[in-house]
Amino acid sequence: MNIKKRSRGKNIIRGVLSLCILLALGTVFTGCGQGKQSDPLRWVTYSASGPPLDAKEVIAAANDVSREKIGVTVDLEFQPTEKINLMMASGEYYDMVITSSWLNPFDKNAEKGMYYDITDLVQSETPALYESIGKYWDCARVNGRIMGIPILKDMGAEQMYRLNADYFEGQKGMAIPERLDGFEAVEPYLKAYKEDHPDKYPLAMEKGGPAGYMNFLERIAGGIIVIPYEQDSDIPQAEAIWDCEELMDRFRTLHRWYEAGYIHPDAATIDSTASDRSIPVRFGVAWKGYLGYSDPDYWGFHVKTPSYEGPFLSRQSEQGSMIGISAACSRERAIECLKYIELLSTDRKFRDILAYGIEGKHFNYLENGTVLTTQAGVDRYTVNLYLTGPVVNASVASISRDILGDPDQWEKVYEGYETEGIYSQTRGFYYDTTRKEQIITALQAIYNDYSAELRTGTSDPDVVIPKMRKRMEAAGFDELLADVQEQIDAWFEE
Amino acid sequence: MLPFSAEEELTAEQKSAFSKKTNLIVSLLLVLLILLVSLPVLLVLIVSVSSEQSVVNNGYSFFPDSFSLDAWRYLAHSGMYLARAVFNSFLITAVGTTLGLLIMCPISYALSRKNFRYRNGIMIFLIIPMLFSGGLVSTYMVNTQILHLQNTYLALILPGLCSTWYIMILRNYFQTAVPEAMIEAAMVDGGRQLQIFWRIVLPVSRPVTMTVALFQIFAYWNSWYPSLLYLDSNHTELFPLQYVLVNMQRSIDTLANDAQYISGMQVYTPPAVTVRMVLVVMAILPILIIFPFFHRFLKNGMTIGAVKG
Amino acid sequence: MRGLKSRKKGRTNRELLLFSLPAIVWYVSFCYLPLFGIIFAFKDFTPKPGDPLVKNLFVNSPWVGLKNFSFLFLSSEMPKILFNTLFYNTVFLILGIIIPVFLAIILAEIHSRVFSGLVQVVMVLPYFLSWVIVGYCLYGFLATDEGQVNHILRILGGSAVFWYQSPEYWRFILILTEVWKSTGYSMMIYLCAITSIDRTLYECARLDGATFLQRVRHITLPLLRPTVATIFILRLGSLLASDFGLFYQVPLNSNSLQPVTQTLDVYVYQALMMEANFSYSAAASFLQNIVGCSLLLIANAIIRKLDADSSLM
Repeated sequence: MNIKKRSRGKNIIRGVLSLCILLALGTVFTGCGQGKQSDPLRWVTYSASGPPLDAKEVIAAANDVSREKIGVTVDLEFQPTEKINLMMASGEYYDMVITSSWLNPFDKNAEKGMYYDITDLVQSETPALYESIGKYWDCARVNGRIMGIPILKDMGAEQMYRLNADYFEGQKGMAIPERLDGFEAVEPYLKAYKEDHPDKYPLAMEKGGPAGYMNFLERIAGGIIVIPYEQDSDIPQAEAIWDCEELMDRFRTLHRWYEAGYIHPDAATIDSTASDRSIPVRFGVAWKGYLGYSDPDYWGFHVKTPSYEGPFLSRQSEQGSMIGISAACSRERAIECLKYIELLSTDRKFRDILAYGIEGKHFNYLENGTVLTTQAGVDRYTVNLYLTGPVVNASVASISRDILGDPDQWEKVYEGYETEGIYSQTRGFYYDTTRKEQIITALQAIYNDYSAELRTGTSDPDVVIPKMRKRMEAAGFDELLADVQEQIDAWFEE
Repeated sequence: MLPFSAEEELTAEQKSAFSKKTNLIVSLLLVLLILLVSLPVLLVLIVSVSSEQSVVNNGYSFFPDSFSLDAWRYLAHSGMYLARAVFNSFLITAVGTTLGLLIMCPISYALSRKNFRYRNGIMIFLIIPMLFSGGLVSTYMVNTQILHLQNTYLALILPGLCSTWYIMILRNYFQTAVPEAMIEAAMVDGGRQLQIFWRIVLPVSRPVTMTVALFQIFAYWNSWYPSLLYLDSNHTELFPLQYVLVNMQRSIDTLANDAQYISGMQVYTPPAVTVRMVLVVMAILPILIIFPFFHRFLKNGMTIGAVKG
Repeated sequence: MRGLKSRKKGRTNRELLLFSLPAIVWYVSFCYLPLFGIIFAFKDFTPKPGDPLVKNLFVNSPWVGLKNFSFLFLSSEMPKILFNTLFYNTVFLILGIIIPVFLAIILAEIHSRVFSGLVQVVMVLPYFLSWVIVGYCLYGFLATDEGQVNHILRILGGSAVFWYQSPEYWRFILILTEVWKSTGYSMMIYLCAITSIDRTLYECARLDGATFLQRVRHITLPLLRPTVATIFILRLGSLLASDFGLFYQVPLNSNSLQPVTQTLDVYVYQALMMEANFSYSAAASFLQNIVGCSLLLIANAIIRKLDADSSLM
């Protein structure tokens, strides 16, 4: 009797459990539905802070146009990094996704076969798109095949200082040239301000360090190993950061500035200095003719932006923003994706919708062909241009009716890349991390123990770097460096 | 079976082991303690009504140069579907807390019965998930690819429903508050478990159910990570308040940090630091509102002696 | 009679099982189904978009043995990291029981209910502040130039301390912060447990003329024991896990403080910051879980020997 009862209870448990498992497995095996043709394309792009308020309306407006022109519509999602990583890691279905050297790593994902190989399709189906990107296709090649679509934007990094011109030129009578001679050339300005304001810190510094301070090097494994742009040898040589004198000097300079009181004592823990608009010297990374730093209404003074180095172009900088088409797409879907990106790359009016919103509501065209955002546009549809399509095909924005943008800005910037650009000599080399991933991960953790204080000048590199070096070497640094060089050598043999 | 007895009429003072003098000293010490504990919270409140410029110049200070309601105004005028978000938060919190209690209380009662045959087995069954978890990816996969919860309210409600931790606390309370003998007696009277649970156990266990409810309410009210994981950006109509606030926070941070990437027009940046504190006040405000109601329940529990007698 | 009794017992068991059923279903779908994630720790997980889960798991992802664990042991600092993790957790475990229990006992005796409620709500407030905010507030106190503490030091004639570059203070600061944030929550739980104690026991004690301390020792503490034991055992289960926010966001990830603030979770986060590798994080948490599980089982066994009623199983 007793036994019977007991087994009955157990049976109930068993029954429930197996029912649950059956249900679950049933859904697992059926897999998840794939997009059919004529469904909107699921296009996932990045936004740290959710969608702009009017996103739905703007996307609908863009869909009306694209439906009529090419019969394709999109379902554009703005997702934060965590979600994009998770989506990729869980094998979720999407059609197009943002991918780059800094977010949702392109080389690694392409190597793993996550993206659709568009080498043939893009030439046969969308020649205009193929044409428009030209030599920049190289940064999307993995093992010779094109695995993604580079977004044409500022492809190289131009390093600049942003100086309070009213103070330095007006009050102090110091000239601000078009170009400063290197990273340290800003020192006289810092010194002048510090003498006048002994309690203030003239150089804006946050825990991230100076914007783009390592752009003059090609970086591998998060910047632990670097490849200088200009080298004597035929085959570029990779080196450890502690062997790169130029970088070490930069750290030393920063530390000297820190000691001199040019940098806030808590810089290594500060998130943002944006709210303190009185700071007279800031770092910047942009392109020629960029106006975003210069709004006097915002800053309360005129800003001049002398560049101090660059523009540097490498596979990494060119991969600033790309679109990957999912490997799970059918051929027809992939063609739809390409057609859509082609339309974004060739039709300026259409491109401006996703870039700036709805004409008349979010922005207006000015006489010189640039756009001016309205207050509604600022409040309800502000999107980074590189997130929604080629930047160069969107109209250039003006700051106000007085500070006009240059409609030919991008032609000039791209010409500048040809004439002044400093090109990497690694010829599209990328490091395949899979073999040494454990070492890189461990080194990354070690590097993070020191990096914030190094790049903000808080700690003395001659004290800290030897410690870091010792720990890194114990974690297999030399093995990694040898592997990097081996891959570079193999790349150049081919 | 009257749950209340004459003893209840003793005042708190009479029941207490403290004399008037001890009570006074201890109270003073406690006042000191809560002053210390509340300092940072006070700081949050003050910064939320400080002017941004004052915070930039002097850091977080109890005595700002000037006050300003800019941050609060920003929130009010932000135009983010706030009304809908508040409704969503209420809905999720109410449903989640109620459903959670409805599921957790019965199993806790079952586990509190020493002669329940599967007690140990179920106990192990509950503790394993506390020790081992599949991690974020597999949880995400199950919720989206098997249970298909994405872009529904369920995705925000179901995953937080139960917690072994609370089940244990409920179980311990039931065990201590309701003596075995009483239940035996009720069973001899022919009572079914449901009746015993509903009529005897739940009424005397209000303090614990309400404590758990309180913590669940705030867990739901303040949770935003599931929204980030399971709600796509084109389902803004499902966003709960906290997620809207977190997005607001993040968008202010992005505007402040990489204004250089936004081509063209320099965007108006709201008072970043003070808005952050306003959002914190929004998160803890409900606690201050609900707590007095909750506190009433905490004193009603001490009654079982009468039943036993 | 025997038959009747056992029939009744069977019915009771069935009814109680039915009581447990909804929770069991929930646990199966939200805790047990995702458990397959543990095998990520032993795989190089490379899903193909659009493929069904099972194929992604077993066909697309190769087994790699213990390779995913190796990044944990490549760091020469690992002993220090483990020490930090265990040190803080042990301190929190002890303080997290003593302080809240003490406060709860006192608070239960306070005459004014309104005042007692006020204390509770103030104490519990910090629990609802996120670590990021706590980090900002602490910065308000400890910033080198504008911080309140240095401000006071300067008024008193001392010199400013670079708090974020002085690791020697931070063990204390972190412990204080954790106690400040979590005490209210635990206190509520103990306070609630105290209300479950049969009041007539106190009445009798009062009539017998027992002092407050005697009452606490002979009535309150013994009856709180199961709750304390439960919390103790469950917390042992996460001895290798640490509250990431406390150790990363509160010290604002200051490099100089890393010798005293780095715990296992911070290490894993720093290692995977650049590129999310979910197999590696699965490996790390698997390790934490195994250690936690063994500790929990040992603690439970010991407590069962001492006091069967207080053990979990």
